[in-house]
Amino acid sequence: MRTSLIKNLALLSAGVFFLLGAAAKPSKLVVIAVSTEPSTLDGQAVIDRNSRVASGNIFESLLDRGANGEVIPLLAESYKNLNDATWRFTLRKNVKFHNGEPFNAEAAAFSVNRITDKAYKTQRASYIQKIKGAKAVDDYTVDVMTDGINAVLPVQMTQLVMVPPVAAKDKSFGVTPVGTGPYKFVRWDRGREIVLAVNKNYWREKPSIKEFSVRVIPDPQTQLSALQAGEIDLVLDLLPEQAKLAPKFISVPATEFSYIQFNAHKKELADPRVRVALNLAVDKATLAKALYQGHGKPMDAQHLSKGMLGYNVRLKPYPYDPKQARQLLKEAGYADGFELVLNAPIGRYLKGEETSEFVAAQLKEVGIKVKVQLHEWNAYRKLGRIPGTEANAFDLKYGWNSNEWFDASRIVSHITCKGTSSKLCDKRIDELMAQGIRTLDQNARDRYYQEVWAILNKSPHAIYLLQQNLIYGLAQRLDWQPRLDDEVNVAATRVSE
Amino acid sequence: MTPLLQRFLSWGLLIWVGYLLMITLFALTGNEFAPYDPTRQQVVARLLPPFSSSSRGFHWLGTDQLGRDLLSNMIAGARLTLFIGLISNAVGMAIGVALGMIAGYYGGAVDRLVMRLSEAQTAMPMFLVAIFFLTVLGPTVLNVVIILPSLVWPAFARLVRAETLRLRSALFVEAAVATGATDWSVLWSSILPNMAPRIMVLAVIELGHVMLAEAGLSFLGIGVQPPATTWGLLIARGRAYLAVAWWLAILPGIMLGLTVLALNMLSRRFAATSGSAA
Amino acid sequence: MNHLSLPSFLLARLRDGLVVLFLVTVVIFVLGHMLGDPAALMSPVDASEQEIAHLRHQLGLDRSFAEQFASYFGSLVRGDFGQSLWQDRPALTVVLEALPATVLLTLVALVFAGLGGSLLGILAGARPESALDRAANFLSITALSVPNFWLGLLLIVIFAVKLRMLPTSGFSSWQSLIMPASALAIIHGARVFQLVRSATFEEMAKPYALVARSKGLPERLILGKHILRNTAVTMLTTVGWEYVRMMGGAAFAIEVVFAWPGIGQLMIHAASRQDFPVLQAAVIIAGAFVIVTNGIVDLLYRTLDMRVRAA
Repeated sequence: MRTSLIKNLALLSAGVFFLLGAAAKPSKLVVIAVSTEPSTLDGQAVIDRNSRVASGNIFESLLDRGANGEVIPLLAESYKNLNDATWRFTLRKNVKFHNGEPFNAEAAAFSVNRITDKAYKTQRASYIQKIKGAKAVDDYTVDVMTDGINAVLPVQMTQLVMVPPVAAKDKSFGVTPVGTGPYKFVRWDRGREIVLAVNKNYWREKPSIKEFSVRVIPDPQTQLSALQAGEIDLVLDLLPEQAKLAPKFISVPATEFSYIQFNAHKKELADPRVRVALNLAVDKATLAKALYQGHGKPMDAQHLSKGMLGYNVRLKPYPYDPKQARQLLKEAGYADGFELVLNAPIGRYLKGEETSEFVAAQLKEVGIKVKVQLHEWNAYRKLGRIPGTEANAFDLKYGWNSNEWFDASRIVSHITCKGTSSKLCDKRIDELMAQGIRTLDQNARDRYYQEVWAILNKSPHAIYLLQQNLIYGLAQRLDWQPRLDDEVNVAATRVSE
Repeated sequence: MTPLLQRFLSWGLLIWVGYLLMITLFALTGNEFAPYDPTRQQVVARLLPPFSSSSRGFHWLGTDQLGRDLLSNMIAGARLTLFIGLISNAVGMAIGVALGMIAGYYGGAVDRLVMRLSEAQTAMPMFLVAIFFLTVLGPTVLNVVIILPSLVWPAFARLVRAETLRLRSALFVEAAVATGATDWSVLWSSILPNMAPRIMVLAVIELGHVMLAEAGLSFLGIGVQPPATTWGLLIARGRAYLAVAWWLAILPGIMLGLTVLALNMLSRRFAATSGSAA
Repeated sequence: MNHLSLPSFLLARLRDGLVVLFLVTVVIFVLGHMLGDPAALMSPVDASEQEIAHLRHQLGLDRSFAEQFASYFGSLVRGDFGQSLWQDRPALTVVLEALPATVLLTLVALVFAGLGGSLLGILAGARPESALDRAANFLSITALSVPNFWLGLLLIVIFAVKLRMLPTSGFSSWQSLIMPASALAIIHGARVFQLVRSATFEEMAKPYALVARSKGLPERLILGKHILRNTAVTMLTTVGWEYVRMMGGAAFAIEVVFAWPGIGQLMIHAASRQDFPVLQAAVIIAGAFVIVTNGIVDLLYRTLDMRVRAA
């Protein structure tokens, strides 16, 4: 262990020297602030925004999303559906990974098989359902096999990044990532920042920003101060109260929907009337106006917005009607109310803790006593996966669901009987969801999903809260537009000095 | 009025005593003196600065992010803060006094052991050990009350040991021993009462330390958990809004600071008038 | 122990320090292994019962207490503190990376606490009951009555939010150091002030000082030479003790308030992620640091004390 001791001592002295030499940054460097440090930069492993800011610019997928949310080619030039369970992708030629490895069918197949391998731990598990694997047909053609008909495979492929077969086998891949993207990894100063520089051999036109860093600033006030002082250029998550104080801000209704999931297997929540009553008891309009200062609006009782596949125009948000709520509870036999525990994660969702407290107070008004229980993120996720029929499953769980697929099938794991996060079991919904994924006819799929949400409207799986806005804070010099899928594309960004 | 009381009292001191009495009153009566229900939300009246009004009425110290009255929450927080402080301090005092007396009275190996333990503990990063302890065993009121005494017992042990050594050779003690009194009764009836004033002075100071430590643990999120309220938790809750509603984090800290300050001022005066050089 | 020769003293101190460090590891071991469930703590959150049981066997948790402790201690001595669950790197590396930031912060704070506190202490002690003395004394008691993290928050409100002069938190430039170091310096300096003040006061009452005064020698001269030399011991050892106090936990709350990337901030992150190996490593490393500092202070005290006596 002596070498590691020496290594540690060297680290110590290097750390001291580095810290003592911390000087002002050069003005050209673009800095993006994130609130928590990524645990790894392996693009296939993590899904959270903070990690994707860096890995999203290092890695690329076969397909991408266009300006209007449609699926467009990226590393694949074209694709077609060979048969029910196979999709064939024709790959772009002359693309290299940052370390010189060629991007070809072998690399593509390796990438798909790596992430779908059961032994590989990824947070993207729910995004790669029904993908079985891939194999290279020739140098630039790869076949991706699915488990039965998978109508959303193209959408899934927009988020499955390509990794180099040789470098990805290295244990340090998460710390020194290698991709095909417009930026390559330079260094990672733990606890401080991740620096990326332009990829000189990028296969498309080179980005105008030569270097940028992703800086870890946990405190929102510090992020704002740094933005105001010109030290950083982009903040991903301004607090609603801070929006007006930033040099520039952009608030967009995103693909994020906040909700409080019911455990419909619990005795008191089994009756759909009870669940509708709880939806009626919460004043979502006030929640949006007061807590989120208008940066959000009540969702139309579905985890979809207009333009997404499966959106049912006939559905509207539940009105705020505590009287009716109490009436329904009485009808269901709970005139005296009952007790529930509402679980929420700490520090993960904007104002999540406050919203939970708010909802608890509102439910109390109709006779339901709610205790808010906060959990650390990992514990919270673990809690969510306990099947609803078990004794220690949750009653209520606050969360946000993002629908970057723009497709109703995204929520399948929350509403089907066997879904990993599901606490609801309705045979008709299961049928419809299965049909929806099994056909490639988009119109038919749209009809199936609309019917699912119509059913859910009578028997909701959650208290449907808001479609949340994402509030970005920009420095004056930054010329950037957010994307619908919340990817921060630095290559398309400019600075005007 | 006894001479002691006369020397003790002065106008300045009365303020501190009065303040402590007020805090104790809050702690004993819970929410009685709170103008509003501390948990009552009013989201449209959130983040109001001190001296503002909402549809509910006047808010002396403003409202928090869910429209709850800050003053009411601060009053409600007094109970648990004081409770944990007093109990932890009492436990630490009991342990420290007991060990100190044993060390001072019997001397020898026992003395060396106790002194080593207390030195070892002062040299340990106790706050870190507390963080570790609370993370492993869970942040509950019980665990906080178990770990906090470890921060204060060495101070008591050192004082009591020195005092016991000093008093051990006093005449009245030797007389008691000569008449065949047991060790226990000598310690309890003769030595302890003589040390009592100085122990009490220290106890008041250490109460302040314990309360600050508890606030620190709550602030870091590994002490008492919501929905319980302590002043430390209030400060933590207000921290996210420091830029737009500084009063949420700052005012509870002032209440805590004044409490500890009052304790410190009282202990100094008490030490001076009771004739000890503490 | 002051009668011992220097080498014996050093040896004794070394032995004491090692004993304390050993005790720290025992305490951590007992807390972690006996009272918690190390296998569950060290497994990723979605591990199944089988996986946890397997890990339990792998870690040898089914062996006797003595065996477990022996192997635990053995790995510690070899520098193996386990793998961080959160960052998948050796826990020791993670902790050592965070250490320089803490050392920088505490040393800077210490210098200001020492200088400021001593200077004010001497001035106040030389002029007891003066306006300066009363004010400084009251301020020092106040500084010691407020939570240190609260003081940090107050500084942020005044200097970062309202006046916009300094960065709110983090470590981006040397200006980031000003507020956290000041928060620490104010509180720890207050204690230095109190002790130096009373030491100065005592010195001023001593025969030589009174004599010098009666002879009409200028006060500066008296203060400058003798008082300074005699209070130097108090000054230095108090500063040393305050450093021990800082590293023992006071600095960590400040780190959290200012998001300073040191050991305190690391511990809280690790605690929220249940990263048991990093927590363990942090306590032991910080403990070792505190113990070493303790030893140096003792050594300093002894050397200075002997010099003063000889003078």
